[in-house]
Amino acid sequence: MAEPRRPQGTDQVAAALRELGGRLDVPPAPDVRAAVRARLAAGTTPARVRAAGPVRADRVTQLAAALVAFAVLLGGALAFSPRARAAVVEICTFGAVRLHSGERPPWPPPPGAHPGGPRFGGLPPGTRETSLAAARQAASFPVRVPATLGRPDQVLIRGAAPAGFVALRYGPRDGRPPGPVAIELDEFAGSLPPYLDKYVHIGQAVRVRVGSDDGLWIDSPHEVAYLDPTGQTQVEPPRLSGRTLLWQHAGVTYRLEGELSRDVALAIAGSLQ
Amino acid sequence: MEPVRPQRCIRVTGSGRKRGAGGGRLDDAEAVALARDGDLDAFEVLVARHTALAHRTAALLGAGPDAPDVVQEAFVKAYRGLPWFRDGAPFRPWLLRIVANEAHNAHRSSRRRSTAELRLASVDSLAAVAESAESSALRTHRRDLLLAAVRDLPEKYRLVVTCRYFLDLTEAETATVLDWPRGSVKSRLSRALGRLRTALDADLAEEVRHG
Repeated sequence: MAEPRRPQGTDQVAAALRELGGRLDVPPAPDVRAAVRARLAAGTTPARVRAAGPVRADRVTQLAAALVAFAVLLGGALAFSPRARAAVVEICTFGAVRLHSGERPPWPPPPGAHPGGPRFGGLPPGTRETSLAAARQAASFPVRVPATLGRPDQVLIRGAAPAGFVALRYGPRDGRPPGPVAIELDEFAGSLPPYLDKYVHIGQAVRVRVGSDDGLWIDSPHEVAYLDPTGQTQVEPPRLSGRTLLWQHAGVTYRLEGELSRDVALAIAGSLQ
Repeated sequence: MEPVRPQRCIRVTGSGRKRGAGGGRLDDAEAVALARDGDLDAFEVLVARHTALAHRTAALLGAGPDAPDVVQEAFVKAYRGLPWFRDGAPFRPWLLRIVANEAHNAHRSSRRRSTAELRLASVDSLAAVAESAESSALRTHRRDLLLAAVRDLPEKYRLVVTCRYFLDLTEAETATVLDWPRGSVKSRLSRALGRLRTALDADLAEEVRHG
């Protein structure tokens, strides 16, 4: 006898769909383990080269060669030619953060750098010293200061008003890491490219929270590339030890560098006012 | 003052089976934690565990013959995206979201617009044998009709039906995979079911009319 004919309720449609799902023609799944592993183990950029123990000379050479090529790529000519800018964007699509292993980044010193005052390292190209009050006037965003560190010993700014980049530097003091610039907090108007959120090609990075914002804790020397408010890609080279806390808040990107532990860095970041 | 820490190495361990905290195999959270530090063996556990569903997802979301490549690419991207993976979040829907993106890109770039990926298996197994001839024909007809109705749905409705019924994802997982708010998953699914019901009722009315 035929089934009673009545309109199907959505429950019945759902059940019919589940049954249909079980009968769909799907080819057997492939085994991709070996292929995936080969790609991950090979690595495709210097960021994935790792030193096991002391850095061996041949690794350093290989790494340095790659990094010099990278540095040249990101050198001064880059910012202006469209093709060069495309190259930067292409690198950025792997992720805006590049990590390099080794105790020190093998960068050549930035052109035009000179030793600053007795307590601080060279000024990055294009920056000039200023006062906190003047920086607050000239910056295109509210400049914040970490309460736990207090007033900075040196304030740098780059760009004419409204300036997109301000750096706060703190010299050595009891309880702080050693070195001419113990801690630096960079603030720049711009956000990390959106694709940083999805496919970041990094080795040593740990996701952290700074208040309600997402951030990255990175403990190797690296660069940060970001989009400034005009849509142009800018790259900031590493200047200190490479221990960095990177986060965004309200359209401003922050980078806190210094030989700090992660917890101390997070505490400093949390104290920004 | 923090001492300078020695460089951390990627731990590429040998081929021994990984042990989790419970002494048995690694669960997803344990595997993710190890993989995030560079343990490729641990990541391979995740690959082995999730390939089948990743592949099914790729296939049903239009990857076509590129499905195996989509799966491979998704796992590579997942590994590289591990620093961004939230501790404690479920790994599977996060992975399937990457698969869905890759499948979408593959589908778009190959210019295939048909929904040919939804096809009934031609050989059904024992279930067909057990049924009588008449009711089997009826069921087959209904299935064909339902499949045709699903294929005719607008894309968003078809996606949510695929996730909820063909991939057996929960509402929360579907929201993650499709990157929709949960409310949208609910409402679109309900509208999709309404449309499918209407299509089936129309067929029913036809049958009644023609005896």
